Amino acid sequence: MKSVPRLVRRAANALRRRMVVDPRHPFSFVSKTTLREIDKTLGGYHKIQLLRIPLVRQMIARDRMKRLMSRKKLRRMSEITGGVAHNTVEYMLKAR
Amino acid sequence: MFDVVKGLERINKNAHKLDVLTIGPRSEIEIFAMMAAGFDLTRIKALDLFSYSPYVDLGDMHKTPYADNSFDVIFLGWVLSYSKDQSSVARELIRIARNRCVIVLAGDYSDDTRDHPTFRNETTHMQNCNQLLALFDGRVGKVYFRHDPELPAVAMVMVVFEIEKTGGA
Repeated sequence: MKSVPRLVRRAANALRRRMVVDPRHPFSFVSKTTLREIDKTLGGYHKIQLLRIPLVRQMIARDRMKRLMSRKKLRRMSEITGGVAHNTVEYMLKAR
Repeated sequence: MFDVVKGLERINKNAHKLDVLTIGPRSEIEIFAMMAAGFDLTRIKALDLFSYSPYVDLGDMHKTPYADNSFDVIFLGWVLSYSKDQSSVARELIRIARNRCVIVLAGDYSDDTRDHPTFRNETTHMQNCNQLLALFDGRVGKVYFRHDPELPAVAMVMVVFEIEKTGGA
């Protein structure tokens, strides 16, 4: 009696896998080992590669700005040549 | 902006040993993007009117603190229109650029309908690649990439070219 539900479960799982796995999705057949390896690589020596991802760049820049601004005042050009359009610095500071 | 430059083989192959400058990066995001493009952090300079970042030098694009012939690649993204004297910026870029330095100028198309009073009408409109290239008249070598606006949907103006410093003017 026990083997029947197991068979049913197996069949159901196989069916689910067939329905869920999209062979065109690049990550469909990636093993857990490979995923762990990628994770380890990006977290270690090759961490700098993460900067290729725009979201990562934004997040890192945000944290650094928060930290650096809390320790030091914003440095600002004291003397600007006549070539810079009026109000540019104030405009940029607001936009920051 | 950085991806286009990375597409140039002579830049791509040598990115780590080139001296690069970005003007007006505002935050560090642009500097990280340059690192992602293969440029070496120790060879990246950034210049802005204000900054919190240790990577950024304070300075004005009309009169930068850099020596003659300092850079192999210079980026000015969404910056040039804040100059009321673009010719003087061009002269300064020519001064600090090495021969065959790749210059990247990018920004959005603008005309008198934009919020000009904020800047007392002192900003300069950016409208097409020819206008930008004309600022460097006599010093423009190869033009690698040009993107003109297609209004109203596409506003970006972007030109990538090299500075010719041997002979000529």
